[in-house]
Amino acid sequence: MIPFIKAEYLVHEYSRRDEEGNVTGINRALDGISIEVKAGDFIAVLGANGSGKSTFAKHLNALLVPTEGTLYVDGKDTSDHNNDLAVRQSAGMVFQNPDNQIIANIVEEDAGFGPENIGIPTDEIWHRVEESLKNVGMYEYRKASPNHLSGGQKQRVAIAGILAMKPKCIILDEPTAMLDPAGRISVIRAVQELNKKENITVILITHYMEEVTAADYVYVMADGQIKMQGSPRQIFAKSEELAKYKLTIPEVTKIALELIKKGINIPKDILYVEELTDILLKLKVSATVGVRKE
Amino acid sequence: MNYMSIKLQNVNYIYGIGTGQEKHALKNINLEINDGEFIGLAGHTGSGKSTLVQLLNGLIRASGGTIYYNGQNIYDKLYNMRDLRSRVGLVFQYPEHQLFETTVINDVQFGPKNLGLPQLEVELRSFKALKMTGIGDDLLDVSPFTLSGGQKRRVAIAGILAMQPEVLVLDEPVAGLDPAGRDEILGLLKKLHDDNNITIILVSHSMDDIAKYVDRMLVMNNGEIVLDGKPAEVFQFEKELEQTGLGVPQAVKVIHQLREAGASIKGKPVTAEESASAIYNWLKYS
Repeated sequence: MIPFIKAEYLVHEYSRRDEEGNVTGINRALDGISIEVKAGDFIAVLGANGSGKSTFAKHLNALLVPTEGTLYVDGKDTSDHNNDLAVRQSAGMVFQNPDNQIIANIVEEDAGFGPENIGIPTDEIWHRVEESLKNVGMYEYRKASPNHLSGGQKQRVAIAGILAMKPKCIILDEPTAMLDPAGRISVIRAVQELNKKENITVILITHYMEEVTAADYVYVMADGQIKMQGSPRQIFAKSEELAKYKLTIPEVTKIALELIKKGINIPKDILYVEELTDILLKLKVSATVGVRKE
Repeated sequence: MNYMSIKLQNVNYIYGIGTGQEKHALKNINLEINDGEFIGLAGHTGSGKSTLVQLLNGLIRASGGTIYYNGQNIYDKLYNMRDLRSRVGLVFQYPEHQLFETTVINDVQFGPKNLGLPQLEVELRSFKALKMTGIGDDLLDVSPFTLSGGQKRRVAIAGILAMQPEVLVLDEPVAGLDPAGRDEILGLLKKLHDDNNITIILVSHSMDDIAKYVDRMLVMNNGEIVLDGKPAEVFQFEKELEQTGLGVPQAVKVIHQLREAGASIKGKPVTAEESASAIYNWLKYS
C-alpha cells in the first residue's frame, strides 16, 4: 500500500538576514526527516519550541517546499507547485489561534468559505457545511456569530471549515494551546471521532502530553530530527529521554513512576487515570502487595 | 500604611452599556487580595477573568462598585491612576508579540523610561529585571526577535518587572510553551514571589500548573467568583469544576476515583508526588 505521507530525507533551511537583507547564516529547521504515515492513522508530533514541528506541518500543507529531500502527500510531490492546490485539498491545516482563522460573520458561512474557494457548487457546499458542523458538534450554532463562541467552539468551527473541503488528512498545529480544559477536551474528542468514523488521517502537533495518548503513533522531534518514535506507551515509558528533549510525561504516568520508585510493582507505561486506579485497586485486594525488600 | 492590599467591593462590569447588547461580565465581585499572595485565577473562556485583571490596574473602569488599592479608592478624583499602573504590572497573553525595540535592553527600558525616571535609574532597574528573569549579559544588545519563544517571553516579563511593580498579573503566561519552557517561566514567578515578596496573580487554564505553584485559587464562572481557597480545598469540588468547563489535575482525579471505589486514602494531595505518597501509605499501611 502506498503511504499517505512519505518524507524522504526532508530538509528545510531558513536563511537569516541582517537589516540590509544580506544572508548572515542558515538555520536548518528540518534535518533529514524520513517518515511514512498510512492513510487513516492518528499521528502525534511532540517537540520543544523550535524543534521544527511547525515547519514540518507547513511542508505537509505545501506552505513550504523542501530544500533537500522529497515529500509526497497523497502521492503528490509537494515540491511541484502545480500540486499545491491538490495537496492542500487532501491535507487541511488547523492553526493555534482560532481568532486568526475565522473570517465570516456567521458560523455556517465560515465553514462554507473553504469549499466555495475550491469551486464546489452551492447546493453541495450547503450539504457539506451541514455535515461538517454536525461532525464537530457545532450544528446547533450554525446561525450564531463566531465571536459569541468559546475558544473550543471556534476551533471546532475551524475544523468544520477544513472538513467541508473533504480532506483525507487534517493537520492540527497546537490546536488547543489557547483553550480552557473543556475546550481542549471537546476539540480532541472531535478529532478522534473524525479519525475513527470518517477514517481521516490526523497529524496532531501538541505540547499537552495527555492529548498524545489519543494517537496511534508518536514522533518526537528535536533539532529538526526525529529522535524517538513509537506508540504512546513506548514513548512515555522513557521519561528520562523525553526530558532531554524538554518534554515530560502525563501526570498519571508520573504517579506510576513515583510509586515504582517507592517499590510498588506496577507497569511504568500507564497512560490513563482509570488504568492506574484499576491496577492499584487489584493490587490492594491481592494480599501480596509488592513492596520489595531491598 | 505599608500593608498592601487590593480590595474589590461590589464590583460590576457591563460591556456595551446603552447598545442593547449589554453583557454583564462581572457581577458583584467582592474580593480581597493580600500582600505577597500567589494567586491562581481559573475559569472557562468568557468567565470574566480578563475583565477582572484589567480592572486591577485601571485599564478599564468598573460600571459599579469600588476598588481600593492600599486603602485608597482608585476611582477617587485625586487618585493617581498612572501611579497605580506602575504598581500593578499586567503581562498580557503572548507578551512577546509586544516586543518592538531593536535590542533587548532598549525594549526592557521602555517601561521605566515612560515612568519619567532618571536614565541611571532606568538602566539599573532594567539590568536588575533582566537578571531576575535569567537573561544573560550576552543577550542585552541582541535583537529580541532572534531569541527563542521562552527567552522572548522572559524579556517581555522583564520589561514589566523593570517598572518594579508590587503586584504582577499575568494572563496565561505559559500558553504555547513546551513543558520545559512552562517550568522555566513558572519557576521564575515562584522565585520572584519568594525572594522579592511580589504579589502574583496567575491567570491559567492549566489545573496542573495551579496545583503546583499557587497558594490560593480563585475560580470564576459567568462573571462571579464561585470558589476561593487553597488548591487542595478547591479541587475537592471536582464535579462543580467540571460543570464550569474546568477540571482537576490527574493527580487529584486518581485519588478521587480510588476513594469512590472505597479506598481510605488520607490527605488532599494535588501533585503527582503528593498523590504517589498518599497512595503508597494507603497500599502499605491501611
